Amino acid sequence: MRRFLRRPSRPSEASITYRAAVIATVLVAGASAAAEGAVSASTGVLALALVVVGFVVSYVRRDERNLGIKAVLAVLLFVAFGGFLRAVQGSTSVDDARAPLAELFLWVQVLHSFDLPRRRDLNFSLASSVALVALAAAMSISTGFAVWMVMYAAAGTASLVLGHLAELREEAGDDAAVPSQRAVRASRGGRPRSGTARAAAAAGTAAVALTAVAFVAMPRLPGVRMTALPFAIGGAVQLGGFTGQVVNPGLPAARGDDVPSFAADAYFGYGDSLDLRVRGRLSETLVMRVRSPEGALWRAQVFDRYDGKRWTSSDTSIIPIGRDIGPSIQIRVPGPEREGHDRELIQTFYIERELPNVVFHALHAKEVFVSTSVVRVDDFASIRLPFALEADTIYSVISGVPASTPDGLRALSFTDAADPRMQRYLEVSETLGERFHDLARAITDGAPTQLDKVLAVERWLRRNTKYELDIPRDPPGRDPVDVFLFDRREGFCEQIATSMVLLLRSVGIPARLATGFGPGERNPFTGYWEVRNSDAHAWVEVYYPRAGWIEYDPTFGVPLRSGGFDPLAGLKTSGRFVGQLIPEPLQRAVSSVARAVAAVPPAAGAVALGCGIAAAAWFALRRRSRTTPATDPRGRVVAAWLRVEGELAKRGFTRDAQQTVGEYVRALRPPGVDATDLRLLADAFARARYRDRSVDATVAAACEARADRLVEQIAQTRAPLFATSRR
Amino acid sequence: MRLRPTKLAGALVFACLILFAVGTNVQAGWLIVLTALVLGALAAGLVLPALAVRGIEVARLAPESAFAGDRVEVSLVVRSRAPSARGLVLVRDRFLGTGAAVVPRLAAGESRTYIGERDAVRRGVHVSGPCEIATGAPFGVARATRHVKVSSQTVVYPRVYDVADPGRLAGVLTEGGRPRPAAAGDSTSVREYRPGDPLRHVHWRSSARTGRLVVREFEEHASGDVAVLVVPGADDETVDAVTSAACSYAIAAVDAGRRVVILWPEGDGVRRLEARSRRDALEWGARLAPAAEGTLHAAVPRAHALVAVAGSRAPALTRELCERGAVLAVLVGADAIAHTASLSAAGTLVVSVPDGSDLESVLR
Repeated sequence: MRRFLRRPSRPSEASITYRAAVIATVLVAGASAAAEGAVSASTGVLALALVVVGFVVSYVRRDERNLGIKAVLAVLLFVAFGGFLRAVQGSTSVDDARAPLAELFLWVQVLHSFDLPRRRDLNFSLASSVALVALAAAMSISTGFAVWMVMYAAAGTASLVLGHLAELREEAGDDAAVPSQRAVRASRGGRPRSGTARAAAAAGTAAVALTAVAFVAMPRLPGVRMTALPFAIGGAVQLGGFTGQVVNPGLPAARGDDVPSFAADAYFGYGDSLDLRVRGRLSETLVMRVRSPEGALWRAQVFDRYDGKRWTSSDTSIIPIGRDIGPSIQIRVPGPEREGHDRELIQTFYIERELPNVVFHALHAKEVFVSTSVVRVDDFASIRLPFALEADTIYSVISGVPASTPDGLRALSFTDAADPRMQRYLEVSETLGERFHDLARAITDGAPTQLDKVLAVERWLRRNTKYELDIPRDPPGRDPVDVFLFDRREGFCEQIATSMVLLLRSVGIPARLATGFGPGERNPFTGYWEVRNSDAHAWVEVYYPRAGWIEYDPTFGVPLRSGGFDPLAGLKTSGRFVGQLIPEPLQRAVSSVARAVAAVPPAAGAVALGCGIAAAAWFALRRRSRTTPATDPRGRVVAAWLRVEGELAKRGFTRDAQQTVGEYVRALRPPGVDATDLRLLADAFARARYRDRSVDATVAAACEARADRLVEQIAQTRAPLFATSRR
Repeated sequence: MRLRPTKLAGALVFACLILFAVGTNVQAGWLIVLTALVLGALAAGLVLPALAVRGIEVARLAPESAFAGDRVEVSLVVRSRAPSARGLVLVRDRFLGTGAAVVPRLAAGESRTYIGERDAVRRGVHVSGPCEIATGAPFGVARATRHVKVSSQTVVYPRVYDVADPGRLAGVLTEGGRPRPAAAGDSTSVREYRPGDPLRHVHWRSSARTGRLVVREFEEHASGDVAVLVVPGADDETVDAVTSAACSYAIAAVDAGRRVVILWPEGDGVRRLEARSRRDALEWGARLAPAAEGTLHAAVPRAHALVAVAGSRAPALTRELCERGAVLAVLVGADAIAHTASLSAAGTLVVSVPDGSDLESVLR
């Protein structure tokens, strides 16, 4: 008991700078958590203010036992934990528990900050701050979090560095010598040579480079299945008289010429129909972020009927599906049977802008977590909500993505064209003439399987058509597909995808048109897929017997998913993201340089590379020889003496040619100058110069240190230096 | 050079695994960034100390001489010979005890001196000493350690005490006063100069006449010479105590102007030193090694006042001293004290120094 009550055996941490670095780290972590909404702003401000008070109290009372404070803190810790348990009682998902957990960590920080006597306690604070900033990072969906991350990295780095210094001081303990103010100087008598900035820059660069390498090389693995996924409602404006129709809030009313108007913020492919005569360029506005281990085409609607101008849906039986037990709605749609295993893909959508009342999702949605008890689903398994999607709406979907392989699809037989369920997917508009069917046959002739025919059409479109948004209107009365394939060969995704659907239908392959959003661009920092208005897209779904509907994107290409993870995914994503940040002119310049380099013959390139390396090595060696002092110990001893002798000469006393160093030193009267140092240095010089050629490096270092001291002493003294008059 | 990860490295690896697992499962990109940040710090922290420990030199500035038990000022000069700055360096030095210096920052080419005091210095000639340069710069994730041998020499003299108490020593050491120089011109009163002779003893007239440097020979008072017979003993503590006692008496005699001869066993023989000054006695005391009596009894000079300091049983020497009538015997340790009775009976003043006793109070 007595031992327990004694003061801690380890000394308390007295370094104010280390404590300041730790508190900065904790404050940044806490502030980031508050900024990301993990804790309320008022709680965050109060907690961080208390953290500061706690650190001050800890510093002032660092040498006390603080038993009373510890007891109070323990009680308050239990209170905080009780609050956390109460808060998570009603949570339905791990995501829901993040905010209470962040609050708990913050209060733990606050309480712990009142009892930080030793370095170990400060280290615990640092570890807790990692947990806090990790929670904030897990909640952040914005690139702006980079600011917090940079601040945290800076403060954390300072804490680590100063913590290590404190550790060294603790290790040195009572043996630690004190630095001599008098002797702190550059060895050559002037200001210390610069090098601190270079060393710090080198260490920082190494750390940043290694961080970048680690970030890029880190595999992006799919997450594990959560029992419950997040959802929240944004504006929750219910649609009046909702029967399952798609309401596209931004779409303007049709004009007099029967061609729908275009709006840059509302894709014309969401609604009752998709008209191929619409022209325009969609805005770059961010509409949603998607948390998903991989990108996919975020499907919204499907159209099966083309009348020569527009796509519509033949299905009018939009069925309601309600929630069973649990937080999710199971999507079960009657249709052709499918075989084979699907790969589960979990997606969470964070809506940023107003969107139609559809559930965007990857193909074959199986389960939806959304803030409504009933959704409506059409025959194509596209899901409609009773409210429009608004900013801050969150929902999650679990999809079963087909895990088909090309070989597996090739092994399948052709679709039975006589199947009545497939008839609507084989219709081709009469506005397309015989030359269209001839073209379809010409493209697919020789393809032995259904898959090969599909790939042949896709390949032909890629090779023979060009993606172009700014195309003129079609001539009146002409089918846009006919114009696209036989006249213009330029168009956008709607024309390209429609052409593929109809070409496939022409050769007896069931196909339909899907609209939604493309995958968007994955932000390598947040890990979220950022989807913009301009990512609105149309693509093709092809039916395979027993395999079901498979997606094809003839515009940009959608490879068949293999299901494995790509070890270079991080590198590719980061490269694409960084590429986006580079201005277009610079991108073009880099590309042209890269092309020019690629055009250089390998031998010439190797010679140029070799010359470059040789030149760099020569410069480096030259620089090193300039900056690195002589390393020969004997030369260093001689140089040290000559430096002292030079200083003496400046004071008017030069050594005669016939005078030995010993005689010269004995003639000195050194008030303020250490005579022993002078004598020892002179002796070392005499030995190094005339007798012992093998001088120890440590002797050389000692001589240089003595020379440092002597030079300073000689410079400061005003008294006569010499016993005898000047010769 | 040795590189060893610290506990912090383990903690960072653990943090990486946790952050990566959580970041992957919740698909939080910023957690992956945080993981990479920790991983980067870990990797840099494992690599950089090996570079940071290079290019650092240590020199030691220690006094040429000191007395045992004194606090001694020893400075460590830490110098960077690297082209870039160094920092967060811990220098541990084992010379005259232990010392350490923590160098927070060292610019390229800069040297910093750290002054420390070390105590409990033992008698002896201390040459070189291992020095450990350690750094975990910048993050303390790994510790790179380099051992260097730093040259320096400090002669630590034995502790000496004021023993010139006439009452206690019955004037043995002080009687006779200072020796007088012989008359000039006497063929026996001058001798050839030997290195170490004071210049004031040079007999210039004779030197001029003979063409060689000669010094005046002082009168030999056979009865005034003091021989200090030393049996060091076996264990270090006893040897230190014997040395302190012997030096104390030798110095008292030297200070009194007596000619002092120190004899002690070494190897199979006996060594002899004429202590002309305090320094001679102290230098001898610093170098005395453990030894038994040996043949010391056979080398006891005649016509000297005999002072014996023994740290172990020395029966032959005791018999010789009893026969010759030694003036003073200092017996250190239980073994040596066994001879107290016989020496006292022979009229010798005996000073007993039992194990663990305070030598200074006994000698006074």
